[in-house]
Amino acid sequence: MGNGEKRQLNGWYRRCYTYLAILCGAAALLAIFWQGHMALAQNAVLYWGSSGPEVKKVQARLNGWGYYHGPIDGYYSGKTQEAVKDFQRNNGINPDGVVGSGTWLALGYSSGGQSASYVPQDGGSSRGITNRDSSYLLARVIEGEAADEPYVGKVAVGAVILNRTQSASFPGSLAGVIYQAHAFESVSNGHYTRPVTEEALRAAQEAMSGWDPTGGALYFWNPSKSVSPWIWSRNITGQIGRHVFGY
Amino acid sequence: MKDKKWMLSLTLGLVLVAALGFWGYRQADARRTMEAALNNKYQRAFYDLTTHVQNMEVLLSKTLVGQETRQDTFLLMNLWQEADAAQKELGQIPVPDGLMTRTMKYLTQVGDYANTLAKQTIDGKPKTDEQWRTLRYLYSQSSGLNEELHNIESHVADGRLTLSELTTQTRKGLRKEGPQLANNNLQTLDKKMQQFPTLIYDGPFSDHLADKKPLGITGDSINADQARSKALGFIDRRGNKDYVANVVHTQKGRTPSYQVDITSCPVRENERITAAISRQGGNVLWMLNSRAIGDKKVSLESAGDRAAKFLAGKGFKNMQSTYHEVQDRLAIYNFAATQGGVVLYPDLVKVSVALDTGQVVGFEASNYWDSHRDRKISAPRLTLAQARKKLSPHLEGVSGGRLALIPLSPDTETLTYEFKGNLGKDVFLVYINADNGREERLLRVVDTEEGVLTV
Repeated sequence: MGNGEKRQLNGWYRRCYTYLAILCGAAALLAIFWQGHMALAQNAVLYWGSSGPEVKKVQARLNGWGYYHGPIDGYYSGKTQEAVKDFQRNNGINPDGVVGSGTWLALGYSSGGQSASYVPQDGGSSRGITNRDSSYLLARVIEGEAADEPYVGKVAVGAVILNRTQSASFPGSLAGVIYQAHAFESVSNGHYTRPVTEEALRAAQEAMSGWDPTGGALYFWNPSKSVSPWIWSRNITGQIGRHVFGY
Repeated sequence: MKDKKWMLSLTLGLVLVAALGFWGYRQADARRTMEAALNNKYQRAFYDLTTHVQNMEVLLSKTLVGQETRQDTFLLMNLWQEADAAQKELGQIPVPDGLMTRTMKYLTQVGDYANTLAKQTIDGKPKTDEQWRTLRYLYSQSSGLNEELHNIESHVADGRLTLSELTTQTRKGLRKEGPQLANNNLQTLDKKMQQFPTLIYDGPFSDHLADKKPLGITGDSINADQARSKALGFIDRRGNKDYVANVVHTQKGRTPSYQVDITSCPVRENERITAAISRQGGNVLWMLNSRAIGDKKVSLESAGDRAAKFLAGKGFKNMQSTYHEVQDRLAIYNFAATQGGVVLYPDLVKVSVALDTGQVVGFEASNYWDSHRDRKISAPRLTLAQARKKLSPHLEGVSGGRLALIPLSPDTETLTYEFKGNLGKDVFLVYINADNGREERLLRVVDTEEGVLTV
């Protein structure tokens, strides 16, 4: 083997290692970033230029409380920023127009995994007998399955879950129905642990009190998502928001 | 110089590879542990299911020869428990949507049927010939189910089948593409259960209840325009605002209806109201207003008055407030219909009131329309004083004593005297049969922050 050849080979190895190192480094960085991203996915910090369902959540809340009058479109525009500033001023938060953890909290959402609107009570005269646990569990699945649906659609999802507990073909308890394998996508993939909004809690309560916008449905599905063809063999009762309901 | 650079990138590369390898190994290890734990959980559920179904088969065969009341009651109560447990375990096994519904239903109905028969036996009525034949049929079904489960068990035992693979298979959607052992076995099992006849008896899961017609809905069909104006006339308006009924959807289901979307004009505070009007008779089944609710300004008493006035204004006469629940800024009031002074608990209407302005934001009457009618209520055979004597001597501070019609099973309503009493701090409602003095139902009243619960 000639010297020149050797050098060439060495050079080749060197390049190879460098590429590998860069590749590994990139992979490691990606992994770290991905994990970090997953952890931050809950109620990120929002500012001018942000977009997405989180922004929609803020806009809807500010609209409900009379701070924001623009469209609830998920785009953090100047108008949204002004509304946030107004809200912050009224709530003793530094009016910087950025929705951080303090502002999220004031809006009734927590930035962590827990909801601000749920405070466990210690037993008074009831000594622990309450239906708060059930309505909170139901609200979490409603939030997971129908966060972007209209209010009636949220109550409808709650009603389907409760209809299942009354059906012979499904487990007889609320937890049995919710945690049945493959029953609800948001439970299977863990998204139902998102913080619960006041609206979801209200929907859960009204569903538990008997409101059933679905006419006794046992299934709901989003036709724009891929669903098993079997589901279309159900008797369809109607559509609310983006969900089709059937039994 | 050049060599040093070469060495540096080599070491850096090696360190990264080692770190990544270590990380990957740890991840794979953790995944294996989790998978084993999950699989064990499924196996446990499956083996318990097998045991419970086997017990069911034995108990069902015994009910066929049991004759004595005491023994029969014991067998049926056990059967109810075994079926209930089997149903719970089946719910734990990760089968895809709809694959096991028939088997699930079989288990629920066996339990429910046993429960109904047990109650009948306690009342001193032995099972009829027809009930005996039904039990025999259920027995043969349980043998088939038992056999099939043992068949699957042998696959599980020799490792040909792991239940956790069902989870991943379903997620990947492979179910459609090729036959899968686990799914196939379970599917065969569920197919065998298809031959099961409809089961009609006096329990909540009886087959005849699915197509029960609502008793309170009569009259002619209405069209979409009529539904629109009906809905507009029903809602609780705020101030002098204009409301517009926008879209009308049709909704099938047990009571076919028109669903009317209403918005205030101009739209404010997300005020969007949906109401369902039955196609027959044009009755309002339910109504929901999704506007955000501001700070609490209205007391629970005046909110309750608002709810009662709203109902009276919509033609619901003789309604009696029963209890209420509070959810943050929303209060939900329950009203029962009355007839000749008798409270009709099956005919319930719920009204929710926003505690910021006192506006009625929700209305629900499907129970009411399902069961409301002019009933023939015969005069009670027992007097109030006679019924009161039937109460437990341990009950203190007894009050009440109004007549109430309560639903004991989906098909029977019983006339009772309603008493309230307490034992220490615990408050109870006791319902004494107005004809034979039997204690029909015992409810405990719990005062919570969210309102009054009866359990």
